[in-house]
Amino acid sequence: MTLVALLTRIGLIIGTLLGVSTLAIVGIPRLRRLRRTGRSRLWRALPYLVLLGTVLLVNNQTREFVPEVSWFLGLDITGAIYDVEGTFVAWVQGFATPELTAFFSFVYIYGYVLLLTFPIVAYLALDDQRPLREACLAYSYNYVLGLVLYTVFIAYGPRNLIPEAVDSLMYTNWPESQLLTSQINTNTNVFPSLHASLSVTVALLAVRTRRSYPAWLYLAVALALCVVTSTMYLGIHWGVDVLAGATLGAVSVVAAREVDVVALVQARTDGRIARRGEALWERVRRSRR
Amino acid sequence: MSDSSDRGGTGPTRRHLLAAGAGSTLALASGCLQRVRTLVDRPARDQLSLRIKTLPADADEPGTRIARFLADRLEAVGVDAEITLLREDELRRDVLTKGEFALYVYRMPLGADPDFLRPRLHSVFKGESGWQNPFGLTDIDLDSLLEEQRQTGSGARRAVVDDVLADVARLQPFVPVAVPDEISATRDDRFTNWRPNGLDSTTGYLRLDAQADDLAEELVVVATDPRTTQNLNPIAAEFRDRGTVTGLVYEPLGRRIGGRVRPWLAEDWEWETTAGSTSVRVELREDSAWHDGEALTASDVAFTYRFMSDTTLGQREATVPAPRYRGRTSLVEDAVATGDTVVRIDVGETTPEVGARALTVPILPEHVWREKSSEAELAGVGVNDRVTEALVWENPQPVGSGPLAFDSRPNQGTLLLERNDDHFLHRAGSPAPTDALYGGADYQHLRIRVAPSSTAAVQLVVDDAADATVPGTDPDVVPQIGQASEVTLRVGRSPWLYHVGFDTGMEPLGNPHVRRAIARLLDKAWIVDEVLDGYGQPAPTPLAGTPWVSDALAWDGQDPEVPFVGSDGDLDVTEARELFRDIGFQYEDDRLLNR
Repeated sequence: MTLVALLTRIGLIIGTLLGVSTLAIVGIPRLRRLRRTGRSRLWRALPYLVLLGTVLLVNNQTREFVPEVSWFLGLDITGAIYDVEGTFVAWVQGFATPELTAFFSFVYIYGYVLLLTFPIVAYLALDDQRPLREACLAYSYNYVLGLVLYTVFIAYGPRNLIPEAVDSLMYTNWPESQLLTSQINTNTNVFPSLHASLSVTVALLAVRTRRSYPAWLYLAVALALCVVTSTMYLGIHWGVDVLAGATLGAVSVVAAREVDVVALVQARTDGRIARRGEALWERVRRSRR
Repeated sequence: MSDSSDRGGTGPTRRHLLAAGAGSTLALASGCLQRVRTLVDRPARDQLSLRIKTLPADADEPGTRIARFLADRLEAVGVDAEITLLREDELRRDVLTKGEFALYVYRMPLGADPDFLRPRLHSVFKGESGWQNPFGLTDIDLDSLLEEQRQTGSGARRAVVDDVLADVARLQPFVPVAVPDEISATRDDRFTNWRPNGLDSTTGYLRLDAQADDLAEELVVVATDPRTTQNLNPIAAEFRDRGTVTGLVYEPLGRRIGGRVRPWLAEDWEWETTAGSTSVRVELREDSAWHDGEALTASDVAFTYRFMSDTTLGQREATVPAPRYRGRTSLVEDAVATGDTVVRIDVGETTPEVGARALTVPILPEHVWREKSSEAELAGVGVNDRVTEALVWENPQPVGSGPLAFDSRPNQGTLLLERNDDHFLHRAGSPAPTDALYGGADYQHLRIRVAPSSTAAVQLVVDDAADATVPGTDPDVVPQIGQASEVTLRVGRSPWLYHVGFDTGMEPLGNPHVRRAIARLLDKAWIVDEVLDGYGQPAPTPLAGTPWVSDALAWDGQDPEVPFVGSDGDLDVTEARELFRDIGFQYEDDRLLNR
C-alpha cells in the first residue's frame, strides 16, 4: 500500500470515529447552535488556531533540520535511560497477544488522532470559548517544548537499542505504518513521548470540561491510558519517555491556563495585528464579490 | 595564627611561643600531607568503563545485537559497559575520520586480495581517514609482514599471508565476528541471466538479458541505503561502500571478474620487473570517450593516480589522499602517459599479482576533477585544510566513461541512468571482456529507487514494481521472498565483516591481552545462528571462508585462537573473570577495577 492509500484509509476511519463521537457526545442541539454561531466563534478563535497552525507548520518544516542540530550539539541519553529502567518495556511486551497488538496498533494511530481532534470540534460547540483557547494553547506549548527537548536530547527507542528483547510489534504486523511514522518523526526523537504528553493534556482538559461533557471525561481518560500504554507495548517508547511526556502534558495544561500568549501579543500591539487581519479579510471578501 | 602575632603589642616571649607553635603545626601538617599524598595521590581505582558505538537496529539489526551481546557479557565480568547508538554517517565520522571511540561494532568491506589488510593495519596509515588503520595499531612485526606479502611471488606469498593472519589473530586489533550472507530478491519475467548472488557486482548489471527481443525499456532495482542516490562521488568515503552503482558510470583499467583482473578500459597490459622494481605498460582501448564527448586519453589515467594519492595535486605541503581505494593507490609510485593511449605505471617493489589491484581504481576525467583539488569550502570559507573539494563534492551530474551514463535524479530517492550507446560493450563487433557480458546493458534505462526498509524493498519486487533488490544483509526478509512464487531468493557470501574494533591507543585496550580477553566473551557460532538466522559464517580471521585461510585458523566448531568462554551464548562467568584476573585485573564487590 502506498502512503496516499494509507492516508486515505486513515482519513476515512478518523472521519467516521469523529462524526459518531461528535453526534453522541456533543449532541444535536449544540450542533444546531454551532451552525448558527459557528462563523463568529471561529472568527474569535482564529488567533489561537493560527498559533497552533503555525506551531505545527514550524514543527513540520524543521523536521529535517532539528536532527542535524541535535547530532551536533545534543546530549545522547539512550544509555542513561536504559540504565534507569532496563528491560521494563520487554516486560510489558511479555503480555502480548495478537489481539492486544491489533488493538494497541489501532489505538496508537486512530485513537490518538481522535483524542487530538475531538476536543477542537467539541469545544468549538461550547458557548464558553475558554476551553477551546486553552486547548489550542496547550497543544502549542506541547509541540514547542517537545521540539526544544528533541533538539537538546538524542534518544533512540527500546526497539533500536535492545532489539533482541523488544519487538517493534506494530511495524512487523503492519509494515506500511512505518512509511507514515517515518514521515512524521525521526527515530531519534523519542524523549519525551509526544503521544503521552498530548494524551495527558487532553485528559486533563477533559477533567476541566467535565460539567459540559461528562461522557468525554471517561472516554478521554480511558483512551489516553490506552495510548500511553500502547507506546510502550509497541516498543516505540521507553517508560522514562512516557513519564517525561506526562509531565510535559501537565506543564502545558497549567501553562495554558496561566499564560495566554495570544492575549499577551494582542495587548502588546494594542490589537494592531487583529485590526490588520480584519482589514485584510475585508479586502479578500470584497475582491471575491 | 599568624594574624595575632603580626598585630604586635604582646611580649616577644609570647611571639616566639606562637611562632614555634606555628612552626611545629606546619611541620606536623607537612608530614601529614606527605602521608595523605602517598595514600590519595595515586590513580583512583574506579570500575573499568567502556562505551561501544554502533548503529541503531533500524539501520543494522545484527550489528546492534552483536553490540548488545558484547555489552551484556562485559557487564557480567564486572565492566561498566554502555552502548551508544549513532546514525550511520555519525558512526563513520567518529570511527573512520575522528578516531573518537573505545570500541565499536560495524561492518568493514573485505577486499578480494589479502593485500587489503595492509591499509587496514599497517602503522604508516595510522591517522589517515577512511578504512586506514582506524585502530591506530603500531606493530613492527606485522608491518614488515604486510610489506613482505606484497613483494613475495605467488608460491611463497601463501606462507607470508599465513604469518600475517596468525599475527592479526594473535594481536586482535579488531575481533572478526562473522561474514554475513547477502540476500536479495529478483524476478525473471523481464530479465534473465542473473548472477547467483544477484546484483552484487557491477558486472551483475551488465550480464542481464532482456526477455524481449529488443532492448528492454527499463531495469528497476530497489536499494535501502539512501546514500546510493544522495551522492554520486566515486571517492566520497562517507557515501560509498562498494561503489557498484558508481562502477557502472566510472570504469577502471581492469576489473576483477572470476577472481582475475581482466582488461576493461585497457586493451591490454604488460608487466615488467627490473632490479626489483615492477611497472606495467597499459595500452588503452581506441576511441574511448567521456559521457560529455571529450576523448579519454592516457593523461586522464595518469592524472587519476596522481589525484587519488594527493587530491591537492601538490598545492599544499601536506598531501590529502583520497581515503577510498587508498590501499590500491598507495601501491602506485608513479604513473606517466607515454603516448595518447599508453600509460606506464610503477608499483615499486610489488609483485604483478598484488600490483594488478592498482588497475582496478576508477578513472576520472581530468577536465572535471582538476578544479576539485581546492580546499573544501563552507559558504565560501575554507574550514579544514585536510579536506579537499574532491572528497566532499556531491558530484550531482557525474561524467564518466562507463556503459551507463547519468540521466536524471527525479527526486531524492531515485536515480535514473541511461545506456551509453558509444560504449565499447555496445558497439557492434567489439569483443566483450567475458562472454557473459556480450551486448552489455540490455536496457535503455536503469532506475534505482530507495525504500525505507528491506521489507518495503522486497515488497516492491513482489508487487512487480521492481525487478530486483540490491543485496542486503537482513535475514528477516527470507520468508517474505519465499512466499512469493514468481520471485527468486538469492543468497551468497557478502564482502562484509562484522567486527568489534578497538582503539588500541586507549588504555587498557592498548594491551593485546585485554583485547584477547574481550574477544573470548563473543560466541561467534551463537551469533551466526541466532542473530544472522544461520545466514553467514563465523570468522576467526578477516579472510574467513576464502582459500587463503590455513588449517590453523580454520573454524572447527569454535574459534581456534580466542574460543568463547562458555557455550550456546551462555558465558561461564567464573572462568571469564578468572581470565581477567590472570592478566592482572582485580575485583572489588564484583566490579572489575581499572588499573
